[in-house]
Amino acid sequence: MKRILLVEDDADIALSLRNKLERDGGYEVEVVADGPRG
Amino acid sequence: MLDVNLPGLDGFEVCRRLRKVPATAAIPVIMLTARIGEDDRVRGLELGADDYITKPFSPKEALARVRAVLRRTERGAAEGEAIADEPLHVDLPSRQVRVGEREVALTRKEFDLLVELVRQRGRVLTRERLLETVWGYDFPGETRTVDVHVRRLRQKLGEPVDARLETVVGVGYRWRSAS
Repeated sequence: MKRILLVEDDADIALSLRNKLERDGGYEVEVVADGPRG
Repeated sequence: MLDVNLPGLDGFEVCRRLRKVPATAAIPVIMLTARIGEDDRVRGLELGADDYITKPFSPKEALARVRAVLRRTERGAAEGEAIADEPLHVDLPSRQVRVGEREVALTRKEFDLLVELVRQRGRVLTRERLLETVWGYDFPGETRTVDVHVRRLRQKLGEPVDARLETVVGVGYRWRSAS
């Protein structure tokens, strides 16, 4: 499974994007909210 | 996928650091931002971003763009071939470039631009076409991105190979093969 790192500090955007990418794209998504962790 | 306005370290800097390290240099990057100025878009692309999505965007559009970027990346990796135009050697699977015995370190976009030009050797490629094929989507009005990358590419390739990347005034660029 392809993995996507989503670096986004807006929790609402991160959640909706994560759901879409996982549910419809079949990707494994990890979310972090700041630059240094990205 | 990388937001530009991040706490601690902005997305431009994260992208720059990714591209600088060989182990992460080839990872596809899509920038997400509320900034809509041309300079920001150009900056992101010049730092090596593969695509740029302006907020607000729909998750559906984001998914389509992710798929498009991955298709382009996988197509390049799957070709499994080398291109040569002595003394230039381009190994596609490893994305390594040599001029004679000298290894040339290129950014992701510089490499993709070189491959496109050499593959289409002898043909004039417009800036718009290069933007579309190398950067992946129509990006009107920002063709200077191509000019910046061509200039850097020539510098890195050095003599005599740099002279093969010809400017066709008012149109675009052409790779003139040595053979």
